Order: sequence, then structure tokens, then C-alpha cells
Amino acid sequence: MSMNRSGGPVTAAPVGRLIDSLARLPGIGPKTASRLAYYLLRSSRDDAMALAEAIIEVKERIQLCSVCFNVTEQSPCAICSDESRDGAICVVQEPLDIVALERTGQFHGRYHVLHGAISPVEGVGPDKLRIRELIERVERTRPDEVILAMNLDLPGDATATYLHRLMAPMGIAVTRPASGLPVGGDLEYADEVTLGRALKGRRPL
Amino acid sequence: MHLESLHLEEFRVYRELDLAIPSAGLRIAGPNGSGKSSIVEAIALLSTARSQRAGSERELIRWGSGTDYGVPPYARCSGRIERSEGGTSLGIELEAGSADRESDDQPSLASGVVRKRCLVDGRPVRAMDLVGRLRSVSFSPEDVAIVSGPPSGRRRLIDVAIAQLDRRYLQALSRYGRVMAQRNGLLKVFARDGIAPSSAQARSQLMFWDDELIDAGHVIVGRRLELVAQLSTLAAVRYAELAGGADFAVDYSTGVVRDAGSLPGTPPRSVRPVADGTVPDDAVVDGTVPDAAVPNDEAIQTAFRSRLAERQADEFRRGVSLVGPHRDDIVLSLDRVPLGTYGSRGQQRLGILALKLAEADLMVAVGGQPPVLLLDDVLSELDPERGRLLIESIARFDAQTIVTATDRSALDATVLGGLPLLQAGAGTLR
Repeated sequence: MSMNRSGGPVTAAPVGRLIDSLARLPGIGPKTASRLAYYLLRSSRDDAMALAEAIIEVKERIQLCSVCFNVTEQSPCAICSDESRDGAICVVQEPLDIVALERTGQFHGRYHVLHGAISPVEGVGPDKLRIRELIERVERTRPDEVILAMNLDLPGDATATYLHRLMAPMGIAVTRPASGLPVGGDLEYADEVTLGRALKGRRPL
Repeated sequence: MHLESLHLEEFRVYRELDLAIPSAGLRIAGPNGSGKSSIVEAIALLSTARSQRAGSERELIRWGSGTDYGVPPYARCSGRIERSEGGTSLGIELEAGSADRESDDQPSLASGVVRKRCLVDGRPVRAMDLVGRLRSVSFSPEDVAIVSGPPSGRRRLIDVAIAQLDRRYLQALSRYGRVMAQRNGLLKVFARDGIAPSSAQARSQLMFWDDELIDAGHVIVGRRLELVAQLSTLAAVRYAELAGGADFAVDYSTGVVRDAGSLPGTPPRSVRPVADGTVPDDAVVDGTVPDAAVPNDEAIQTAFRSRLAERQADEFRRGVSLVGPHRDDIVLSLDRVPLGTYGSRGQQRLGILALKLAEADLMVAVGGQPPVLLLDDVLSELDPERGRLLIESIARFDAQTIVTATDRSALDATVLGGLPLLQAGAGTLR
């Protein structure tokens, strides 16, 4: 008797396969996977097909932009082809970071997605990221400014420092977004690292 | 500062326990396995966010916890501390890896994944925001193994003491650990691929981690140099009290700074032991300033950087970080002879007691208030005279003191005989 991971012989094989596939998604354990699978089983055929098609569509039609490596339907992506964008490049770790930055409405240049950050513990070195492509692009296009919008953790800091060192001899303005206190936050509740960084980065009014 | 109450749920042998603790403290008696040590352990956990005893935090969760309600095994431990500026509640919640998160071929009990949450006034905080709110020093017969054991045990002892006094230290420790893991990851790749230290690739990738290692590491080395020097002064007095006039010393042996006294710096603030139950109002004592100065930040950073340069070839060959506070040791010695290798069992026991008493002295001198003193079955391993001397030293702190013993009459005839006595057994205290 073969027992699969998700319910044993009492679960029909196709349902078991669905549960196993769902359980591989991040943040979803076996119990949630079962719940989702039975929800899909009960939902209308149209809803289920729409989900299936959406998944197939992203896999078939989405690619990485040949310029900035953001996820896109056509390459170069909409942002890279937008002539009204100015000559700055904002380097980010993940495509989702672009969504957050675009929401600010404060940046009008183009992006470059590294798809990760340097983290030797996880075996991620500079060669595993889109760093070579970034350097070539910077040499070719000579942007007015390169903004290193990495996460404020060790891998993010390591990546920013590494990139800065590579670009320093190129005579390009390299900046990092200011770090500090959250808007609407109370000073007294800020942790000392954040507050310390905010003080270090203070500016005249 | 003292602990007013302790609440345990599913903690070790206790299903549920509410304990009011008098400001002077408690005596807890009971046979082995009755749960008296668990009380002391719970208080130390609230103080330091880690257990000194448990190999794995899973051990803290009562066996069979959670099965009644069909929830993952859990344990809770919380307490209310009273201090001059008002009360605060501290809590630690542990939850064993729930079945939902793991594949079924890995039973959740054996996997040992325990999630720990620290709470201050009911709000989740990082462990480093909990540590230091309830200062404590614990004494246990097992401590003697620290003297002759591996250096990691002695570093932990010193780290736990300093972390309670200095938040920046704990932050540096945690950052140092993360940086070193990353740096080792990189060195491992260099060693595997035979990359030379002089190559552009090695230099451009390692520089960031070197800077970070030095940045976090110099804080650790500096604080250890300073506080170990102070502890040594205090411990020498304590050792003499317990054992008569021998020259007891505690030294920080670091590969980062050679000949610390010759570098630019300042002498550590002088300290003295608690003699008569009063908190020393200032630190002016004659003859207690150690010779060695504590080098300043810049001197330690410079020394750290040149040691890294010296060991670079070895690091690249072996693929691990070879210089830094993670390789250092704290050496206890008697008349300049290291106790760990040459001391008798009795001398080692007195040495660690002197160091622990010195820790409490330091908390009074630097922290301004005596810590909660946790004595777990310490009298069982001491001869009556040393036991009496220890108990008298403890009593002079005028601190909240929790003492456990197998024999309920063990403390009757001592100065701590006046503490309320509770009997532990079968998961209860009465």
C-alpha cells in the first residue's frame, strides 16, 4: 500500500498531487495545502480554470527584461522603454522592490534588478547576481546617478559596499537611500540602531 | 530590583504555577526531580532569555504539553518585576515546531524546532530588549565544569554577565555572530577553490566582512577587557574571603590585542566588593586599580586589523575565521597557575564561586542595584565552613535570593534561615 504525504490511501491520487504541489509554496504547510485543495475541488470550474490559466500564463509569457531584469511581458520592459524616464538607475534586490519604489512617485529613472543579495552563508556570491550586467550597463549608458536601494541588513549592506567599490573608479555618482525613523513613529520607541543611523545621517534644515 | 511573582505554564514539571516571591527571596526544598531547580531556571530564563541548564529549549516544555487541546507543545514563563521606577512584566513563550510546518516523515517532537518569543509588558520584543531588565547571577554545582571545560563555556559566562549590564554588548555579539557566519561562508569557498588572498576577487569580497567583523568585534573585546579586569579585582577579594590569602585572578586572553596595557587607553573604573550590604556610592578604593589599561576603540580596531592580516594565509587555507573574540578565552588562575589545568577540584569550585560573587559585585558597582541571586543546590558540594562563608557573603548583598536544597533543614542554622520555605513535589510548590 502506498502512502503519499498528504492523507494516505483515503485521498484520491489527483487530489493528493494537488495538495503536494500546493504544500511546496512558501508559507503553506500540509494543513493549509489540504484546505486549499478541497476549496478548489468545491469551487466552480471557471474559477479553477482561471487560476490554472493564470499560472500557465505567467510561466509562458513572463520573461526577464533584457536591460533591467525586471519581470515583464515584453523585453525591454515598459519602464526601460519609457522615453520620459530620466537618466538615473536604481538598483534593487527583487522585482517587488520596484513596486514599492514606484508607489512613492519620487523616482523617475530606471531600475536594475539583481535578483538577490550577496550572502556567502547561502552560497550567493556576486557571480550569482546580475552584477556583471549592471556594470556593463553603467559603463555603456553612463547614468547621472546610481542609487543602491538594497535592504538594510548584512547581505544588503555587503552588496551595496561591493557595488560601490566596483563603481567608484567609474566616476559615477553612487548613492544609498537615507535610513532612519519611520514617518508617524515615536522617537522614544525607535530602537537604538535605527535612531543611531538616523542621527548619523542628519541634515541641516 | 526584585521579582514579585512568577507564573509558569507547561514549564518542565509544572502544568501551571503561580508563585508570589517575597522581596527577600525564598527557600525551596524537595527531592531530586521535584522541580525546585526549574524555578531557578525559569527566573534565569526571564533574566537572560536562555537556559543555563537545558541542552535544547525543547526540554523546557513539559512532556505531553499541548496534547489535551490538540495544539503544538508549548511552555510559558512570565514574571512581574518591581523596581523603583515602576513595575514591568517579562515573559518568554516557547512553542515546539508545529506539525503543520514540517513534512510528516519528521516527527515534530524529535525535530526540536522551538520558537521563542520574548515579551515585555505583553509586547513582543527581541531577546536583546528583554535581557538586562531582571539582572541575576546563578550559582549551581555544575558551574565547576566551566573552569576546566572548553573556552566557549567561560566566554558564555562572561557574555551573559556583561550582556545584562550593557545592551550595546549584546547587540555587538549578535551582529558579530552573523558577520562571522557570512565571513566563514566566504572563506570556505575561497579555501575550496584555492583562491589566493591577494587576488582581486578575494580582496573585493572580503573587505566588507573584515570591516564588519572588526566593527562588531572590537566592541566585544573592549568590553571584555574592561569588565574582566574589574571582575578579577573583585574575585580576588572574594576568593580570599572563602579560602584565605591566595592570589586569585581572572584574565582575558585574547588573540586580538597583544599586550593590552601598552596600547593607548584608560584604566577601568575601580570597583570594590559589597562588604556590608550597602551599595558603594562611588568607586574610590585604594589599591584596586588593575595595572592593565583598557585600550581605546581605535587601538583595538587597529590591532584587530593587523592580526587579521597576519593570519590571512591560514584563514584562506582553512576556510574559517581564526582571529576574533570567538577564539578568545577567560583564564582563572591561582598564584599565576591556571586553575583549569592545574587546580584541584576544590580550588576550581572556590574559583568559580568567587567569580560568580564578583559578577554580583560588578552588577552592584556598575548597575547600581544587586541582582537576584539564584542558588541551586550549592551547599551540597561544599564543606560546612565554606558553605557558611558563601551564605554569609550572599546574605550581605541584601538581594532577593532564591535558594534550593534537597534537605529542608540545610539552611535553618544559617543567616538565610529566615527566608520563607516551600516544599517542591509532583509539579507543585507549597
